[in-house]
Amino acid sequence: MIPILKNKLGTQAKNLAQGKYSWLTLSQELLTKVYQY
Amino acid sequence: MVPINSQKIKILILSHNTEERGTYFRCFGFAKYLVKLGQEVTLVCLQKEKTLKTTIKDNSGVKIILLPRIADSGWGELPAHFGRGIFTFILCLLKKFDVVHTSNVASPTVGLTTFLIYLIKKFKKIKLIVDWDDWWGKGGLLTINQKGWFQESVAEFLETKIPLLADKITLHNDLILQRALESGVKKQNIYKIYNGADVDSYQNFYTNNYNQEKARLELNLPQDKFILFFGSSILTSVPFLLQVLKQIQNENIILVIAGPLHPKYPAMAEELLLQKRVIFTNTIPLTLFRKYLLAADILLLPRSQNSLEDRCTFPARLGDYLLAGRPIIANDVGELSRAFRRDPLGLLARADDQEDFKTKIMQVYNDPNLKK
Repeated sequence: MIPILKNKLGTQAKNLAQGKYSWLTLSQELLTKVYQY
Repeated sequence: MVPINSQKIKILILSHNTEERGTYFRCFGFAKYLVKLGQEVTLVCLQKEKTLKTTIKDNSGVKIILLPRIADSGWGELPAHFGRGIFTFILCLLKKFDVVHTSNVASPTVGLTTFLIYLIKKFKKIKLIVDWDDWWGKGGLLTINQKGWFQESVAEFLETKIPLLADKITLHNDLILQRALESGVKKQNIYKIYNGADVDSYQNFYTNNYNQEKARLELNLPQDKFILFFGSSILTSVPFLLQVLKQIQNENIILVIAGPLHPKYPAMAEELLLQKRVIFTNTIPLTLFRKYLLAADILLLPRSQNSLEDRCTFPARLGDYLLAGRPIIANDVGELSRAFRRDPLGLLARADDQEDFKTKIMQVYNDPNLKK
């Protein structure tokens, strides 16, 4: 079996988790758009 | 108003949930990473176990206050709802908070507190934010669970009126957004923010090369099988998944299901002659849940168009699914379909379509290009 961690779909998902879908990004959005204006 | 780039903002987040359950994870996700961004955050939620004690602890820099819980759920908690409301109100009176962000105002614990804070928000210069995360009132969860007219009506009132008192509303779903607009919330005050991924919690796995083989060894799962995984605190889609597995006539493909086990599910698996291909773990702690994700080949997110819960929520576990770096297969339902169409999060199968769900699983199983 090809190592699943190198899976194309999995890699795309992991990249999104570490960027756009990370709590860090979302909390930054919350801070700048909702808490501060 | 809180000026941009000012000193540390003091934030109070209120969750109606017990620690490590339901929307607690949304509240804690924001709290933990707001702390990383240099803010000071206090999170109030309920004790995991029934107790009259109040406990204060630190988790990743977040000050967590665990309030007493006297019943399992619902209206046996009525006296506690009032007690918790008053406690949190006094906390806001005595301490300085710039922002109070309350989650699930349909629960009197949070709804009552939000109302009391509204009364003092001008005097205390508090910005009040309501997170509208689910549909509890009429037609929603309390109706579906047949909780009766009184509970439904109170939840409906709190859920649709309290948000009107807030400066801003956060939510994660277009169905709830529509409901907020119909309740009179101004569109410019609504912000859609999804549930996210707790990247820090996976760093140990990544840096220690914790791979699929190690995870399976540790969990006593077979190395030679192709493992489908589904984990949730609500297992209503298990019958759907068992039917899908039945259609996959390949003994090499097995299904692991994590969540609060009802005996009817193993019985169902046995009836379909799938008992050797399905593993039920029952409810497991989050750390173990993550290891199961890493042990799997495909992660499943079945959603039904017939379920209001599936249409109006955004699963908190998606962040963990994504971080595990495995292909995800979901149904084309609710906010998930919008997210999956916008970003390459995984494959979408048609709603309530067993054949299409099976096709998507086999697509990943058979296609070496998808595994690159």
